Amino acid sequence: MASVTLENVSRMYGAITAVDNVNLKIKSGEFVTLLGPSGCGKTTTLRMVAGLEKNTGGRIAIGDNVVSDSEKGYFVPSERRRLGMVFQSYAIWPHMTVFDNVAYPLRIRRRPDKEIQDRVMNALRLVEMEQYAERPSPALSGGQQQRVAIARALVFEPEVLLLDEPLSNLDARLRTQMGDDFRALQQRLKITALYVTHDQAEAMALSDRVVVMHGGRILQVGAPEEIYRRPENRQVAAFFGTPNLLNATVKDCRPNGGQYYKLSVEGQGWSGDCHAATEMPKGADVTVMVRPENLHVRDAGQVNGDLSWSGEVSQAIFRGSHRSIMVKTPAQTLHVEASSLSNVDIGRPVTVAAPVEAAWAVRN
Amino acid sequence: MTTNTSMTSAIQKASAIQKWSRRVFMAAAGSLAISAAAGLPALAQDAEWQKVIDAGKKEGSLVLYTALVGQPSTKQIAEAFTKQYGISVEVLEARASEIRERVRVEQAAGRFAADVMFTSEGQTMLYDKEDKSVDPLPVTPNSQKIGDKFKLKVPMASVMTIPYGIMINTGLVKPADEPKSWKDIADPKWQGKILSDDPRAIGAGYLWFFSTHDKIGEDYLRKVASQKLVFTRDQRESQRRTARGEYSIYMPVIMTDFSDLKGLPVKFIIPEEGVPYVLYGTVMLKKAPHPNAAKLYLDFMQGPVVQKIYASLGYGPVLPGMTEGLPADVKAISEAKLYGTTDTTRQNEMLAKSKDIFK
Amino acid sequence: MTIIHNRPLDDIAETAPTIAGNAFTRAFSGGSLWRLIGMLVLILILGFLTIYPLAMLLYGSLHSTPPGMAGEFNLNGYRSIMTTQNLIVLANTIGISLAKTIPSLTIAVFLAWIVARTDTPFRGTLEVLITLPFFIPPILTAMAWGMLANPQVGVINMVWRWLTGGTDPLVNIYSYGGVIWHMCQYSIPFLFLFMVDAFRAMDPSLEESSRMCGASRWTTFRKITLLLMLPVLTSSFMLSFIKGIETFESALFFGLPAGIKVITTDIYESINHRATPDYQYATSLSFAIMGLMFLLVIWQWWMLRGKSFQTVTGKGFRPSVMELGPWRWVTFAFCVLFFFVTVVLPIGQLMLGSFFRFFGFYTYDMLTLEHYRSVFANSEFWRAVRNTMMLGLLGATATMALGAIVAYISVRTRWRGRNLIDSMAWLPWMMPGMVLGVGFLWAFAMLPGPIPIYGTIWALLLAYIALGTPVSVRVMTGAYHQLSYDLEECSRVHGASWFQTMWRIMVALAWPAFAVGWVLTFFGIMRELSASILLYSVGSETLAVVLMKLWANGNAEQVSVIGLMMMLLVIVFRWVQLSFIKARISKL
Repeated sequence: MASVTLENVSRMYGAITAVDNVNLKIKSGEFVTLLGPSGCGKTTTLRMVAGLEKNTGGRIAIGDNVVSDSEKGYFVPSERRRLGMVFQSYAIWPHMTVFDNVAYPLRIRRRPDKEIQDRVMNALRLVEMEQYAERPSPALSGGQQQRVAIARALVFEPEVLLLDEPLSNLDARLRTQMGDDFRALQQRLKITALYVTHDQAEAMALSDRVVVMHGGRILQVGAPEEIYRRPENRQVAAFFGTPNLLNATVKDCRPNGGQYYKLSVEGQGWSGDCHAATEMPKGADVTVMVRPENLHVRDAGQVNGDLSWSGEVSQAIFRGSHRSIMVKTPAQTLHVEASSLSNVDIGRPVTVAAPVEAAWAVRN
Repeated sequence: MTTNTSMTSAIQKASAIQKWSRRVFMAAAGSLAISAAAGLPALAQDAEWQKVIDAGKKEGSLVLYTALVGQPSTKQIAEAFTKQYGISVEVLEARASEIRERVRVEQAAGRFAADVMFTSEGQTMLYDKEDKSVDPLPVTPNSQKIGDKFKLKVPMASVMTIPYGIMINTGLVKPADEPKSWKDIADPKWQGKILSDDPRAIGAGYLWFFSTHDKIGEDYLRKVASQKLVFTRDQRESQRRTARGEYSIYMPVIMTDFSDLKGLPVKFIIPEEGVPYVLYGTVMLKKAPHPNAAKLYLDFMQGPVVQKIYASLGYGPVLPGMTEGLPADVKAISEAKLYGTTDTTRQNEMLAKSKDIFK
Repeated sequence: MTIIHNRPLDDIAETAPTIAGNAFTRAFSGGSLWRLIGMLVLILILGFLTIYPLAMLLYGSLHSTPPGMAGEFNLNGYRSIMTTQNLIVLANTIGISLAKTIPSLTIAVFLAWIVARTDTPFRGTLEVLITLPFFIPPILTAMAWGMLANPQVGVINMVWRWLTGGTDPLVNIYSYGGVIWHMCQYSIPFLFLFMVDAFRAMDPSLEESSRMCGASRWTTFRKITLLLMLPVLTSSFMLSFIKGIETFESALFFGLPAGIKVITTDIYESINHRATPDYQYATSLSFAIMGLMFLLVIWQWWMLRGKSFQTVTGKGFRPSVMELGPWRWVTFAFCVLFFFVTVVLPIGQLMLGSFFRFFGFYTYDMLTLEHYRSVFANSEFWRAVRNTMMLGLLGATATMALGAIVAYISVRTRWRGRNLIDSMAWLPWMMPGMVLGVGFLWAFAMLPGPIPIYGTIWALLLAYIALGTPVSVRVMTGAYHQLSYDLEECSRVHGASWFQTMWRIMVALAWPAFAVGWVLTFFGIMRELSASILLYSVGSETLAVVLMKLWANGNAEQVSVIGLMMMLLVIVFRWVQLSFIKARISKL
């Protein structure tokens, strides 16, 4: 398994910049996800690593070898990059059986039949598809096709595994299951994987690191928890779930002894403490992010946290696992995820509170 | 796959009383060796000819191009030639315009592939005058023996004539009503019942148009034109259509095709005036790779073996006395009076006239 | 954990990445140099096959004499075609071609849909049978129809008169209708063959989703099925329409007696029925037509630009058929009727006639096997069969390979020059066969002496490849338009080179189309006469040349025997091909 390095990689389509100066290093055995809305350049980035698109700027290296260097006009075609790839549509060749599909990369490399037989069956066993080996591939269900696509991508032990939204065509339950299976497989085999998705939950569950992209640029790179809890800017913050984003002004800023700074902020009709990654001058406008699951609804006037807002319940929706409660405050309507057991009446005055660790400020 | 493979182009009318001097013509053609040979006494000529035979046998093969497509006689003759001289014959057949263009282009590109060409008098004139792709005619033993009217100005060794007549469906035409002459075609009773080869394009119909125009006159043609003729361009299919009863009369028909239709309710009629004809013959192509074999073939075509083969098929031989002992029906066609043929130099004028009359 | 924003790579690289290989391999590594060379080779091949003969013809149209003769350059050819008469003939020709193309296309689409997408009984057998007329030499079907539908003694009219007691004929083949009908006999099977696999390869979910959106079956057919078929439909339309403009036999047989003139009979006359073939006139007229035809190609580019027609995706689908219920017997009846009228009637005549001494005279004493005996005993025939088989196998394979590559580049890459090769591949289709044949003659004969093409069997092979390329490119273009890019990219990523991908994925997936194209090309070669007669050499006669000789000698019955044998060959070919497809589908 090899590392992947992208250095100042860009891709222009005429005057349109699809990928803008991306730098990224994926370590050997690491699972990195490119995450972003459609059109953010994540798939283009993946395709450039695959060699299906040529980068118009920068360098790409797989392991110790440069595979593309636009300045030097150097480009290694896809087939010589030793990659495995799972396509969004799976790209299962309809004219071949399952076995033939998986055997393809080995046959292309002219391996002996015995080896092909063994490795294909191993790969199919890995994805629990060995009993389907002789099936014509169009006769498979979506989940089965996806497994075949993974088996095909793994069968010749590629340097890097590339995955382009492989789960997006599956139903929700299958998606979770396949994702978990795949993560387990990846960790067992220690595969370097570059994964593209627009699904944040998928990205967080699978990845060692998540790369958030927007408009062809990388917004933030980090471990899923880091990105989720401590986004670098409002865009990243807004990308995950439906956080409450509140405008506030910095009153005070001091190091909290660790990596972060502790801020005192004041918003419209509320004030309190929160954390931030960098030092902020007094009077700076910031956005404070509080995730709905970290907010608590209390009876009016009952303050039990570092931040609190008072307001009244405007809406409550039962969602099975939890209850979505909308609380109208002078600042804005806050979205709270409460236990589904809690009972709230519309119109009741309440106080919403959050612990200081749950509030994260980013500069506007 | 088409029409009128044999009759293809206008032909210089050959006058029977033409005084034709071989010696003068040869000299004009500028072939010194041949004119010298022509002047030698008979014995020396025989010796000369023997040399040609030896050289031809040494060449061993011959490439024949023919514009007469699909005739089994071509192969029959080639086999007879091979039998006599031990020279193999390779035959390439294509329709007149196609084969002419092939020869022209081959020669222009310096590929002299063919030795002799079997084609019509009119085409020969074009080969000679326009393409300049033929050699002057050699003197051969048989070339002096053919009928005088077949000794031509153009460098073609005449071989046979293809006669054209009238065909009727015997189921539709009572014996008493049968047309006897070309003039009978103009009888109003045939209105809408005549299938005719298209006279507005080079072919059999045009040949009929040309000869009757000169011999009978334009009024006759205008009368025929008012008969509501239906035009076609495929001899063989038209013969069949008439046989099946679509039309009472088909004209002009290639008379020699009669043998292929034996057993069908049709009758081939030799018009009283005579048969318009096309004269076919052999020409020597320029820079022939096997010139001596080519001379032998030219001579062979005018000899009794070939002449008898053609006469037995109903073609008019150019060597006298070849029709002896033939069945009466074949003999009649083979000996039919030659009526007239076309003249290449008047081509455009006559085609325009035909288009005017047969709108 | 390393978070980097726009910092130079060297700061973080554990080991500096290196560029492999030397300068030379690097120059090729991008693929651009290979691509350039490949494109150049392709352009050279196509140029030799299409541009070169056309250039000779262009010379012919601009020069007072054909190549190889002294003359001068002038525009007399073009001036002489500018007549009102020609304009009327042109309008007539276009009208006839439209009148045959539109119904043909409609019927062919309907038949393709019935065969590929419905549960009509015996559709597998019908698929082979309804295409048969296409493979019979036109002269034979013309003769058969002449016998069936002539106004005087045609079988159909005799039956009609007997039934009604009237005297007026029901049909007259020697008319506009007859010309169009005879052309339809060729264009419907051709279009059907051309389209049926596109229908078969379509993912039914694309149609199903339309139904789910509330569209009726008919609306779905119109708005989804047909639109997804747009590349194949427009290609079919153009191929058929252009061929209609150039069709010759039908007009000569059935049009001439009725005074119907088309452009090609005019061209034919100027070459074959004038004392001196007027090549300048013929070529000028052909180029004028070609110019008009090219507008159609531009129209197609404009129609298809920027749209995607990928119906075969990497997500497998189950090819499903529509269950018509009792209506399937209606579609079945339609197919049977079509089969009866276009196949049984004419081919029945040919088959019957081949056992009698003469066509149309079916009496006991005329019964004979002589025609079969003559054909089988004809050594020239067997030699021609060998030559034609060799040329057909080689030619069809080479043509389809070339077509596959050209279509691939023009549909699936963005390489510079792809439009150029695409249009080059169209060119031979736009020249009437008899003129193009002359172009090949001029082109191959005028090659410098040491290039041994003219006068060999290779001249025929090259001409056939050129003549077949338009169809092969169209067939493959339609197929490639349907394949999603993933299938191909996936192969590349997993280590297959471009050629391996072409062969194992693209050709393999497009192979039903490839096979149909192959059969079309193969039988195109078997039938081709215009170029063959000008290029064959002694010993390299083709079947078409032999057929022409037999016809000229009045052996129509023997021509039929050979025509029937060719048809038998078609059935064998198609059966093998279709049972292959079935074997694949039945596994699903």
